[in-house]
Amino acid sequence: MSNVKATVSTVKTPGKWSTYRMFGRSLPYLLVLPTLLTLGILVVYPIGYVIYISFHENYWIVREPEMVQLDNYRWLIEQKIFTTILKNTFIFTGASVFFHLIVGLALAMLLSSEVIHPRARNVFRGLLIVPWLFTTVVVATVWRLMLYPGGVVNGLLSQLGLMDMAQPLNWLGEPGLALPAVILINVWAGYPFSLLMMLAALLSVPQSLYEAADVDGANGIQKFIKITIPMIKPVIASVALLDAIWSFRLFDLVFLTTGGGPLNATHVLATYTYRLSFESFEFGRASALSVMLLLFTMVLTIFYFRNQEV
Amino acid sequence: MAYLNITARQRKKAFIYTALSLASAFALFPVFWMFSISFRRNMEIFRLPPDLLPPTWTTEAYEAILTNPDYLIVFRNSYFVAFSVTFISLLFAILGGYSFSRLRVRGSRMMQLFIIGTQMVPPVSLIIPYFILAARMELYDTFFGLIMTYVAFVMPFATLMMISYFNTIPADMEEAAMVDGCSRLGAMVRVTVPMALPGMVATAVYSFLLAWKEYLFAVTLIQDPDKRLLPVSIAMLLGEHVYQWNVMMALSVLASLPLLVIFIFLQKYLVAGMTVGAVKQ
Repeated sequence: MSNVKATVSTVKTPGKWSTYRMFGRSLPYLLVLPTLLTLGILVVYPIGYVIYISFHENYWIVREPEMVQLDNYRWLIEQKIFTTILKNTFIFTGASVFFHLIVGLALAMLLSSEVIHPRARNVFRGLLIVPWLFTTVVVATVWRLMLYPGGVVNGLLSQLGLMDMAQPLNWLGEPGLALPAVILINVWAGYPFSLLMMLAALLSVPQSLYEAADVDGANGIQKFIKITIPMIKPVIASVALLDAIWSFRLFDLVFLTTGGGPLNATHVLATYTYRLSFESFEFGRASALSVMLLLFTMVLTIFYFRNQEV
Repeated sequence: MAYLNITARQRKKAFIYTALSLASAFALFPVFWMFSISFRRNMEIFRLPPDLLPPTWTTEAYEAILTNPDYLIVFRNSYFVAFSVTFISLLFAILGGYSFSRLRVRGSRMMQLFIIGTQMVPPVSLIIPYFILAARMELYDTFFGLIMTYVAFVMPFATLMMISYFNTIPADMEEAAMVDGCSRLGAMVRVTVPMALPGMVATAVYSFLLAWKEYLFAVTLIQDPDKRLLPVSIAMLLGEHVYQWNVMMALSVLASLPLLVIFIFLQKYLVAGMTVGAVKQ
């Protein structure tokens, strides 16, 4: 590397401070400048701005909004709905991550089995990641249609004798059912990521480990617990943390399937932030909620970074 | 003994193929249902017991969409925005990715952590500042404003993808070109970037998908019906008084076409893109 640089400079560089030299020296920074500038203007500055707004009352509504310190935060915490939202967000995130991991790992185990033909593996892998492709709006629309009281899910359930069509289940309309239904949709839409990551991890576990275990007479379950899980643990952790970060902030799927209803049964931090912003135009309070969302995400991100370091 | 082993293996094989087929059926059923409903008449959607295939095949829903100029504008807008985002993010990601991978940048590690960190920021938490800033800077209701917000959320991962791809390309060729009198920039443009083509395709696929799917910014930063994007257009049908499910499904099918093209022709890159960077940077 340094050799090359020396060669180039003897051929081309006349003086120490020539434009060519200066350009060469600043080139690394010039190249990363567009990225950093965009992120600075469009991510860092708006974060600062949303924190600023969260300390004000009637921001954007009145010309000179009053500075109210932590009043917006206090107001939020005192709301009855705040506990509901937090609970929903944690249940939604926890359940989504849990089922994504289980479904992803189970399917990845099947796909990584040595008895399966490599071409069949590719075909099945392709078919199984299809849900990930679809636009969230399309996912929400199709599932709303399928989960409609007179829709195909209830229709098939009653065909199987599991439900009476005289009293159809209103999946997205009943407070007790709506959150599980939205979780189900999110599990369907999101498991392919965990599947692909787990599959890559499983295929990278050296076969010799399993062969050695076979020699020692280990059975399938022992091999799974003693070899597979420890070997792919870092991947499981990073999938779980990334998924938690994504599920925690999820807006569109919930907004478009239930809109937070019925009776706030599915409102999560993101949908309630949106509602405070663009249905009640309470920018100060909505910003306070945004800041809380940011703080939760920050904690998860720190865990993610620490997991990646190892 | 040998005979027993073979049957055990075959039983395992049969079990795995059955389980995978069932799982695929579950995974694909909503997609199948979208197609199936899109070819029906609206009155034949909620019959009991449910018909898996359209009782009467019709393309009336597709005709309703393709003959309506309002929808054609929406398609044009969505393609324009998604391609612009792809182009800008890819360009920035190549420049930044090359620099982080090949050149000595002071504070490189901190900068990369910063880039990964911005990727975690919840879009909804920035929606108020975006809304206010867009209004103040007269970027509300403009494609430029919308495209830049997408770029901000697509670029971090795109840059990480390009860094890890450049890392896999040996530096020898580039150094040879520089010995032959190529400048650093010339070597980058003529040698390394062309070799990074697969990584660029993967990054482009990722950027396009994200821009194509986005809903939150599209619904808050654009109001003008002439600038509406597809996800917003589909969601608006959900707000109507009488649901035209067949039209909604046909529009969903048309909105999924570029994704299916990516799936069929660029699946390799899609898979590479999804798993890169996340395992280890």
